[in-house]
Amino acid sequence: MPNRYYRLRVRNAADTADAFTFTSVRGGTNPYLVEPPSGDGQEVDLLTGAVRTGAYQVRVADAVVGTDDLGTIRTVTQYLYDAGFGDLLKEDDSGFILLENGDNIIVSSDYAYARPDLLSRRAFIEMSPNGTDWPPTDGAVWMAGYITNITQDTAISYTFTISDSRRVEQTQRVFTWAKKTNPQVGETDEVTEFPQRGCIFGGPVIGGFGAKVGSTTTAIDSGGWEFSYLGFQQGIAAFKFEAAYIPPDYNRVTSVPGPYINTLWGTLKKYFLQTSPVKSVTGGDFDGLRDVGSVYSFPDVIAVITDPTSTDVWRGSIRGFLTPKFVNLPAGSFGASTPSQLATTSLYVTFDPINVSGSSPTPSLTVGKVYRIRAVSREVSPDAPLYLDLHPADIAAKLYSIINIPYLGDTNNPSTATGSLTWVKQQLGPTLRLAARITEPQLMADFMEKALFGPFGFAARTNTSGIKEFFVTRRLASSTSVAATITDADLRGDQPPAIYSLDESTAVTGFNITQRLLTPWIQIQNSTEVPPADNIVEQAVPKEFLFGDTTTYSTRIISYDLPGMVHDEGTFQAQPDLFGASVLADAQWRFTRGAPIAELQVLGNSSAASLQIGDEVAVSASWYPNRNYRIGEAPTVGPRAMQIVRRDETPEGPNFKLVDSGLLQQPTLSPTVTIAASGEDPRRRAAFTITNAGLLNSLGDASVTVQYATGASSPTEDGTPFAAYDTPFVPTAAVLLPPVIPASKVWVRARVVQKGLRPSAWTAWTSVTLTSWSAPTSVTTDYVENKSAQLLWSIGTNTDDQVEVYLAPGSTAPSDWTPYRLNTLSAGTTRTNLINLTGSTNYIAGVAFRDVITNSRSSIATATFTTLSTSYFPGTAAGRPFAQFINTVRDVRFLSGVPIALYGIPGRPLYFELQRAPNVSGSPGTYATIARIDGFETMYVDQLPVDGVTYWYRIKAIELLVDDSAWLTIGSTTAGNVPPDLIIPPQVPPTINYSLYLTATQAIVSFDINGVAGGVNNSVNGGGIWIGDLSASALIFPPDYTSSPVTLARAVGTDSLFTIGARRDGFEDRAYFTVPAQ
Amino acid sequence: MATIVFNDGGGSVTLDNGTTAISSGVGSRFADWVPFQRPIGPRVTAIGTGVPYQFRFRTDYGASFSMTDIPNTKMADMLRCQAWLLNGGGVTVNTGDASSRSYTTCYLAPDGDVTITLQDKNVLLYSMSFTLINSAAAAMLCIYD
Repeated sequence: MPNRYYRLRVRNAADTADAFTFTSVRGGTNPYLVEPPSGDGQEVDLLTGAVRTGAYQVRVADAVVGTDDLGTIRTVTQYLYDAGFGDLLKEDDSGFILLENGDNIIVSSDYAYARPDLLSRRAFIEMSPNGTDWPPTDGAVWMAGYITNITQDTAISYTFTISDSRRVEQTQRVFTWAKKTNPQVGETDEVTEFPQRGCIFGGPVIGGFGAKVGSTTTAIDSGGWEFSYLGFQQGIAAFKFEAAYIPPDYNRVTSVPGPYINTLWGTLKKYFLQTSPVKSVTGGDFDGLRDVGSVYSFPDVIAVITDPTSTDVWRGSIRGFLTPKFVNLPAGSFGASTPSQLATTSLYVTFDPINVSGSSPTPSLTVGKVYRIRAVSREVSPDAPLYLDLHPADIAAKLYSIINIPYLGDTNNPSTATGSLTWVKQQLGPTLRLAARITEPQLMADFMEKALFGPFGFAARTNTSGIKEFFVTRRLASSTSVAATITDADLRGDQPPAIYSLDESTAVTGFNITQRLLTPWIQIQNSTEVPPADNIVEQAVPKEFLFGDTTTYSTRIISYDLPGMVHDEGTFQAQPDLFGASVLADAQWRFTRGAPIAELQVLGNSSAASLQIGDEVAVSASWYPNRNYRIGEAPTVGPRAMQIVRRDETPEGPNFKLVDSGLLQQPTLSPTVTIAASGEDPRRRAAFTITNAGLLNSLGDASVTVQYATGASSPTEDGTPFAAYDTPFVPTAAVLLPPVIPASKVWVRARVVQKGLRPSAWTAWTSVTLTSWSAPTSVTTDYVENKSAQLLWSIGTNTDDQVEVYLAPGSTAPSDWTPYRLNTLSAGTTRTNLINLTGSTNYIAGVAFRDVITNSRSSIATATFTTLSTSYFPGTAAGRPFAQFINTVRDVRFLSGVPIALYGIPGRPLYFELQRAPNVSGSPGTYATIARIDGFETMYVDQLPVDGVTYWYRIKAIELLVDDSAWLTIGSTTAGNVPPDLIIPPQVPPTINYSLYLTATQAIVSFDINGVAGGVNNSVNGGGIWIGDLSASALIFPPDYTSSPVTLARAVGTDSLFTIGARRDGFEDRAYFTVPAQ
Repeated sequence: MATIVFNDGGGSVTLDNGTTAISSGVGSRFADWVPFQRPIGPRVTAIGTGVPYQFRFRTDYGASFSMTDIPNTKMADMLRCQAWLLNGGGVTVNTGDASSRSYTTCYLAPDGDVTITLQDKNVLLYSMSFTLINSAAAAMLCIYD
């Protein structure tokens, strides 16, 4: 045997240099190793992917190597503790204990406060053949890990235990969405690695989830609710509600219906905390945080604030939300809010420290600008689950990244070698995806084994550099060649351990695989069911797969419980049976009747000595059985494929434990495949034909496996599994592939899998390009007003696909249109009205087709436009409201405060805004808003005024689509001393009714106001109708026209849009109608 | 002319006892040559019949023998030879027998040893004992006239 030298190399705390080494080399540095290292290496469980931690021990003599002024210095003891604190620390670590003169108390070098310094240090146990050359130049790394134990085992020696990093996985909770780092500088954590969260509001899912399709079939990302920024004080930002996106359609609304508010409360109350007001903030924007009895706080709900015009993100806990103004609530109580409560109260967010610089937010926000805000629970919860839709290997890699465990394939350790991230994704299928919905934090090791390694058949080992390498634990059938070999010449020892062992405990008779299908919530007609906050419904689908000869052997069912569903990148459609079959494909041959196990001792200088756990090797030890012969006694049976599951180091060489993985021979036939666009659906579906199916059907116990893929060029990796046809049922006719995005180039290939043999080589990929699919064309705008516009487009001959309309601010198309979807319209639609626009603003509108079968979207055709500063037409202001004080003297219900009666046009005002001003020498001082009141309310009581103090009040109406009404001064009053009689009698707001009668060339419009044909003509208060031609941007009938009916000309070839308005007593009503073309 | 030749990395060494000039003399021969030929592998015996069953990994062809009358001037070569064999090194055994048999790939036999013994303290002669195998899978014969 060649010489063997060992050393223990311990790194410094920063892992930038060796702190010290001990060797067995005569004349080397610190030659104090007492004996060769010993221990156990890594071992993998193929069915769960769990990798047992390797651990090795090495003993070191604690020899005397010198003295100093304190005592004797020994080889190991000198490193046990750190240098100690230079100063005396207070017990709570809040600072130093000082001398009377203010100086620090300097501790002498007795190390009274030193602490153990070596645990968790990076360390290596290495072997050299000559004592001079060490890994990576020569020799081998026995263990690359961390110091996990130091024991003074005798009075003259210590034993160091070096283990790997897996202990971190055993204690680490993942999916907490803890924010540890600063994304502004590119650091990563769960927030950046797994950004998709279901939202309590503002979602349903950050970044969307699943296929990016219409709101009825997926969880979209609405982009967040719209809030305008008011200001920032003492770390708290104030926002004013502007618009929401609520289920089920997530279309934009500026008034949130009451039932949804109740639903929102139902979620928020789990996080509710009634807190004291913040009296130190100033100004009207913060009065909802200051001038209240208590604040509705949600400290465990965080607001994620984004700027739609940049990539800036702010986060913080919700300090106040939906807090009723000027109402002192009993402690601990809160109630359902009304829509007005959302509109009239502000949102207050305590920014996370990372988003605060001094007394300002960082990055800065712009007062008055509209930001998008989503609310999620601080920790992942059923109310705000964490979503991910990634390749399983990518999920594992991200988790390793978050806890700073390096792996092959990350940016610091790129590699395309076996064991890398890229390689294992290719083995599993690069388009494989796990779409998961995580509702609570989990222990990382448990999640890795149960959700990733076990069901998908891969794991991660620690290589000789201490870096994680991914490898496949099953699914070896995807590999057709095994390069590594172990022959008699590679083995050592004349008394080897058992080379063949078959134990009942290795038998697997079936699998129970539970997937959780994630589908969008669907509104049932006439149902009052409230949609979930994230609009997604989870459906557990357990599937049991039993092997045929279960009854003749012991029963062992392996259960995999996936946190989501397995699908292909291109479809987002789970196929539990297909995935189950893929799990079974390898397991059936390897575990159904037990898995033969071998233990082989390999020579240290053998080429096989470099093999690691997970590697597959062709074993041809002469006495190993293959089928019913020994390999050395029946040359035709050839070697046996086996997979290494354990590797232990010894001075003579590694000891391997291997699990049988089958024969090396391949079937005698390979398939031949052609592909063409299908006749039934040439735009979405291709069909392939196995042209030698008849011949293949003659093979016994075989099946033909087919994969397909889409892409411009031939796939370089595995495609999507499509089918496995058992012989003799391999189809001879053309077979339809699943629908894909129209006009895709579809590729297909196949191979033969036969009982007990390794699969045949895949055929070459063959392809067809499907019929093309165009976007809508000729997108234009018309009737552009200050708050609305009409959008038109051409759909050509495509009357099959739904039409999606998008609208984004600015004149440049956003990189991702998803958050800007306005609506999904029925097939055949060629126009829509855009409303709620802002005057003098640039917009870009987009129109695309939506293929509901493949959940795909065509490219987007766009048009840009700029809204007008003012409308062409009168009547664009909200109907002026009326209000009056109520005589409290005559109504015993109001003993204090100022009750105000409210009058608005029925069904018109969204809400009233009420302002109050102090009385200054008989005139109003500065008005301030005290309430926004729902438009359907008829009375409001201002509780604040003290009896005997006079205030002024005024009111205006706020409506959709139009400007606010002018202010109406109600007058001044003194609480407890309201004038006894009304001053202004209530007046009658108009309600317009109209009907349309068409002749060949004319449209005759009959109308009435408040049931009076022709309306009124009140010279005192004004009254009558006006009609505007939106198509021509012209006012046809002037205000106060009263003669009904009126006659309009029908345009030739083009429909015309008109608006009709009625005015009376300062109130207004308005409607729209279309006159069809003649 | 019985010799053992090896190269341990420090140069080629031919170990003999200095009597090779007397080609037919006793001193130029290996002493106590005992060949062996053993199948290596597990063996079990059927309890009912007593019949042994053996699985043979390989067959070891070897011999134990001595080189005698080595003068103390060869002490360094003896030590190098001993260390080399114990370290797994291979040697060439030239028997100098009637057929001039030479075995070029000899190693220490499993459980074998190589020892140095003081043969005659008066004239300071040493002897070395070897138990070697021939990895060339041929019987180690040594037949002197």
